[in-house]
Amino acid sequence: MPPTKPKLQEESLKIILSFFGEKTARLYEKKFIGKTDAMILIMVRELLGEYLGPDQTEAQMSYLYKLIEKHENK
Amino acid sequence: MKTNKSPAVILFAVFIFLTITYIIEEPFSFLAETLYLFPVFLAVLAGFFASEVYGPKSHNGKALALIAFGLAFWAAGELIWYIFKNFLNIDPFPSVADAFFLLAYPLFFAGILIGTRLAEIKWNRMNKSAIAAGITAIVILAAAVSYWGIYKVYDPETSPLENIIAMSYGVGDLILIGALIFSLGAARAFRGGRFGTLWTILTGGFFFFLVADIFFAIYQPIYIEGLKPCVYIDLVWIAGYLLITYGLLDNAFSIRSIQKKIK
Repeated sequence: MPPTKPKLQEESLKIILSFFGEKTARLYEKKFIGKTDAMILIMVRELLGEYLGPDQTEAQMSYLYKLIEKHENK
Repeated sequence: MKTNKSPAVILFAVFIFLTITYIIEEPFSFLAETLYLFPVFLAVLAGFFASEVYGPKSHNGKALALIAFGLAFWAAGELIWYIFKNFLNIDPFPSVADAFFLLAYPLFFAGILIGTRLAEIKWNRMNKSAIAAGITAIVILAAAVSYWGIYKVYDPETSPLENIIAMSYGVGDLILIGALIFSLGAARAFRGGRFGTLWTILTGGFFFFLVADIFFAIYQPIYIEGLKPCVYIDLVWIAGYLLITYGLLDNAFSIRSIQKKIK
């Protein structure tokens, strides 16, 4: 498993838990299994986009992108 | 603004039914007073349902639970008022009902603050004319509440306790106005998303309560006499309860449908 994935999944699930609660977070945790980083980011963006609107979605997604960038620069 | 249409249609029909009842019935008739409780308890149920959908670990779950408890306190106050007036023939003011009404305000304030914390509201990046309009509306509301809800309510011929309780409602409304600044900010920060819709609708609901409270403070003697159209102030409170119910149900159903979709 690529090293970013556990951290990306963990941070994505923290965001989902914070905004949508534990039930939704648990369901997404199962959904993330076997998915690539890119697919996880698409799923998270789709969820956040519908509920947070464009500005807040970009703010949350930029945090996740920085996470990937940080690992790639190591 | 994305919303579910079915709850909107049903709740609007409830509002029309209650409006017709108020027009046809004698002011403060037993039927009208009993039906008034329906939207109150509906809002409580909607609040607890919405908070359960999110669960207690999320900000929204905690926020909506606090708002639901606030609504429950108001429901308790309304029920006590109803029982005192219609069954026990006791003047419901002042009474323990007032304790429930007043204790709801800090719960609403806490709920709105917690719920809007996630919004990361950036006031300095907002549209200047929107901010100016918002500030103007808030200043007008606060001035109206301070004048009619606190200053004019004071009656030197009643007991200090009655005066304190009566003026406390105005203070409670000022607390609510303070909270609504944040809910407006969240509605703006989340615009384009369903959380923006939620906070816009909740703000609208609480705004109806504030308007009803101001009208009540201005027209209280005429309202207490049961004269129309002042008794229709009840319909403004009812509109507030139904709008809040709608906002909560719309949001809760959409989260539920997401949970079903990803199962």
